[in-house]
Amino acid sequence: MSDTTQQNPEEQQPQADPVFTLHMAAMREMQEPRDGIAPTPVSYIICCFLALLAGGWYMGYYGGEWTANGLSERPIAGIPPTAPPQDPMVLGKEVFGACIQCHQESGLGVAGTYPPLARSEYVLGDKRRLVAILLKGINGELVVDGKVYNSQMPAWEIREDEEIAAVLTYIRASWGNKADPVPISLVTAVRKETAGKGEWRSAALDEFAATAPAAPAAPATPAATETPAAAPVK
Amino acid sequence: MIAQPIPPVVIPEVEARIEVDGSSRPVIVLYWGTSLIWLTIASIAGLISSIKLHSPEFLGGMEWLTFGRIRAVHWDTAIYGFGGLAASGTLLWLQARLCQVRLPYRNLLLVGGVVFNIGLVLGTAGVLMGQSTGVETLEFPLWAMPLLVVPYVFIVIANFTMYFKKVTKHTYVSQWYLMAVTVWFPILVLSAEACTNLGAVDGVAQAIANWWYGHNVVGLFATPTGIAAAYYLIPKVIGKPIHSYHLSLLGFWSNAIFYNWAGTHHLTGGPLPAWTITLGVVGSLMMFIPVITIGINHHMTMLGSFHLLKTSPTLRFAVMGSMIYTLSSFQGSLEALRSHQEVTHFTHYTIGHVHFGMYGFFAPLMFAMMYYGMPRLMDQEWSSARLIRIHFWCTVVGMLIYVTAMCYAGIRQGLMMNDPSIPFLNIVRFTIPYLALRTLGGLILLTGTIAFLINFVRIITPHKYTWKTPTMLDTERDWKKLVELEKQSENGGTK
Ligand code: HEC
Ligand code: HEM
Repeated sequence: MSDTTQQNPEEQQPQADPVFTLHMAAMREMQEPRDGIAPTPVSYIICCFLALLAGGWYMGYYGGEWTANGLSERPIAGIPPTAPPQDPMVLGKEVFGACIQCHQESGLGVAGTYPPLARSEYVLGDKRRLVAILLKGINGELVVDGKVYNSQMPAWEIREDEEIAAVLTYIRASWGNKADPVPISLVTAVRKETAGKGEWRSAALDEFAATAPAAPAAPATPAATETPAAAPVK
Repeated sequence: MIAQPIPPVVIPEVEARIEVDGSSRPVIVLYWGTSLIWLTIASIAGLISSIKLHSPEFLGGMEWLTFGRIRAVHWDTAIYGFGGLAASGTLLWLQARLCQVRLPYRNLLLVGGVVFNIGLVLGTAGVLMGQSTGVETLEFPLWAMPLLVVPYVFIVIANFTMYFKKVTKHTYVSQWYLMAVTVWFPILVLSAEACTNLGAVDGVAQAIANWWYGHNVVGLFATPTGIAAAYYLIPKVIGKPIHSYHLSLLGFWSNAIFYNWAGTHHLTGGPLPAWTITLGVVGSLMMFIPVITIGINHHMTMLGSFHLLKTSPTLRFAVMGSMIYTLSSFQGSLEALRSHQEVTHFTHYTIGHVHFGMYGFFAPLMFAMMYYGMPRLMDQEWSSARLIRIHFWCTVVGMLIYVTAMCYAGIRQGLMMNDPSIPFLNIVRFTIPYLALRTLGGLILLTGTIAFLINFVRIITPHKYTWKTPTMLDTERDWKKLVELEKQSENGGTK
């Protein structure tokens, strides 16, 4: 365009021109751009392919085992590539934040309204029954630690298995309670077993506790040796 | 003078051009003009953020100017206000010219431009009032977003309409990029909004979506538009064909394939699955292929015409932009490497790189488009060569001060932070002079922008007197002379 043809700024003085010179700019500009056809050197194409190869190698070498929880791009000697499982006591304390308003931080509940979790036979006793209470909630008369309560607890089944197992493990090992942890697999099993059921009544709960679990996979008698399953890192 | 063969003027082409330029004038001038206003606002917001980082008490009493808000305003107005409007104007004008069709839906596009600006004002006000979403690059409150998205839909429609009605047989490289942008950008915005502010995913996946978008808004929106402008302007101004069609192809497709993956390099060291970050690193490294390819193509086209840089404002900005495209992309690819990130991640270095790319590559190419386009759209020449020179040198000097200060400070900062024996506050103190230097660089950049704005206002207001020949950089033209002349003749008339 003009920008080249006007190499010579011949007129330093502006010229008064009462009428616009119509479309000056469009007239003087160069043709619309066109494509040249210089070939691409073969050596250049080869270099591009080599770069691709290098990229592929890098991707494989630093792929971090291609797992969702592989946080290190290379395995480090002695450290598993996946993050260590989360301590259920830590997670459990976090989840317990949802229970505090009723059962209190002390786990003692509120006399006459909210039953205690400390020294409660429901907490320390059959794990399968405990999981069932939490998943479905409970309503009506309930005797805890010798006192009668008649109230209602909502169901917690929207929580994940891992969280339920953790909070139960936590309440079973706090405020002087000393009972073994609740495995995630048990929560999964009870959830399946009680699917479709509504909230518990004391009587129905006793009945449920008396029956053997439907699936052999869910141990009714607590296997004391079972350690809490490693919680997958989210 | 130059031994350039002047190609014969093809008359139908000239007529088409006059037709096209006449039809697109109001729309393009609206988009470009408001983009410059937003550039000024973004620069002022950037300056306030910058000053706050070395003198925290500055404007400390004003809640709505706290760093968190004004920084978000800076980035959003820079990318959507300046970037969005300048790029959309460029897109529409280039597409109309290359298809040789009149700009369709002019009234719709005008309304769209106004609505987009209203959306920007409301979004900015929302962020200043503390309603930022907290998702970087998508800080505007959700209720402002439709005002930005709908006008863009108009642009997409207009772009496709032009392409399908095109008179020219050949599709030029710039058009590939422009078509690609109109396809990519809506997908990017909508899926990123869905995955972040609308909560389709959460946790780590949200962070990935956020940075996938944050990087792509630069890489798949600003960059292709910038490259399209360079592919148009360089051959156009020097009157030679682009070096190689084959390289254009290679550059376009490798860019399209690799850029999209690079976003996660922003999250190195974060709690992401390692392979997602490695993918980002590899995507970034593979960007060497398009960058070198496009670099060769532009450089080989320019070869033998470098002397024109002395006189042509358009060419000067365009060549500066495309050279810094190569440099800043090299810098970015290397910056993605984990070993590099160990030092520079979460330091001022990143900010240095961002501004090198945005103010060294994208912005100059948009300026070049305006320097080339405005005289054609307005049938008037730029009033002042001096203001163009001020604009150019302020851009170069301000940008270099900013970028070198930030990159150097960032490297030192990173090295010190890796040494646990150095107290953190000492490192902060070390960076203060460099942060002040950035403010200086920013002030120089703002000066250049204001010079451009003055020239721009002059060219869009009709004047009785105008230069007859294009305003080249080596002339002594100043608009005051035009004003004097105008006065003289008025006096002469009344006498
Ligand atoms: C809205 C208040 C409320 C919240 C929150 C609450 N509970 Fe309960 N919980 C109750 C009430 C009330 C009962 C007794 C229901 C009845 O009387 O039938 C109960 C009973 C129980 C029982 C059986 C009785 C006992 O004391 O051992 C357990 C175990 C239990 N809750 C555990 C939990 C855990 C774990 C959480 C937190 C995930 C929780 N609760 C949250 C109100 C609540
Ligand atoms: C006068 C000119 C400018 C000044 C003074 C300035 C200053 C700043 C400051 C202080 C920050 C925040 C840095 C931090 O958080 O540590 C920033 C961020 C940013 N600026 Fe600018 N800026 C200017 C122009 C621009 C322009 C024109 C663009 C784009 C077209 C731009 C793009 C960005 C981006 C993308 C970020 C965010 C970077 C990130 O999060 O990694 N800036 N700028």
